[in-house]
Amino acid sequence: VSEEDPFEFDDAAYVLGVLPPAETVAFEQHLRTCADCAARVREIQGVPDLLADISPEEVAGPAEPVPDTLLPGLLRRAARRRRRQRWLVGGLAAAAVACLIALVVAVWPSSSTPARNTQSRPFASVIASPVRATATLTGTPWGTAIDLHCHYVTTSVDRTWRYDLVVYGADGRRENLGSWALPPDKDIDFTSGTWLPSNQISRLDITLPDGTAVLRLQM
Amino acid sequence: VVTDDVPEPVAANPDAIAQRVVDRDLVVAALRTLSDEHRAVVLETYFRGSSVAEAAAALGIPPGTVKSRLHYALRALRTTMGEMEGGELR
Repeated sequence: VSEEDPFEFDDAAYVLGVLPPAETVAFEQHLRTCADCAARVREIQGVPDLLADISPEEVAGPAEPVPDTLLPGLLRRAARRRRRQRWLVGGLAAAAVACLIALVVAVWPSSSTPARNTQSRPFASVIASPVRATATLTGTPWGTAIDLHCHYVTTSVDRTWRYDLVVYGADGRRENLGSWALPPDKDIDFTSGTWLPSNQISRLDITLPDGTAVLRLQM
Repeated sequence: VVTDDVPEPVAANPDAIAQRVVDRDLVVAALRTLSDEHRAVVLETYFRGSSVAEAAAALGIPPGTVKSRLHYALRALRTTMGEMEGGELR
């Protein structure tokens, strides 16, 4: 409300994870008492996820205005897709039991063949970092298979970094699922898994060896 | 554990997950509609991994300006996505 709110513009730097640590702490304190700032954060907190699959090369380059016809066309296409998704979601809800059975049948025996319905999902950035990752979770008889794809979004990384994959269960249990090294200019595929069924996974973190979370996939 | 007080991540909402399967093309197009200044701060921070201070130094602007440009840039992107969600265009 107040025009003098010193935190008014911190929301975007915060959701992108580029606010300095001390300011992050102060801003999170402030969020507890400032409904306006909390609302501003909620408004834009989905944006980093939308950016996760985009490479900087696609958006860098000369300021070339988008042709007037392109964006409305894309918006129309996406709106159609959204309507389809809504219809799909409605259909799923109506036939929830049948779908659940179908899903169990489809996913259960699929440890050797990838289930058709699994989709790779991007991790969101927790702190500013050039590393990006997507994960595909597949239910198996023994738990959940996790296929990770990991890469840097920039070519300016000049050394190999080590990362750990950590899973958090719905009960807060934390388990380390392995580690890998990511050299500059390389994409890596890392396969891991946990005994936890996917519906008992609350989130996956990709951390530095000291435990600092870099990327997060909230389930 | 982490902050229960900050707003729930969007990913917790199943509808938001479906929504995220949005066209990459749309996101790229939306990014390209940003002004050069706004696009530059997004590129510098999100894509190149610079902190606010590093982005400020790289772009030759005060840190406060980096923050306010990010604020407006993300809002502009969100608005574009919002138009899509509402399905107002046809």
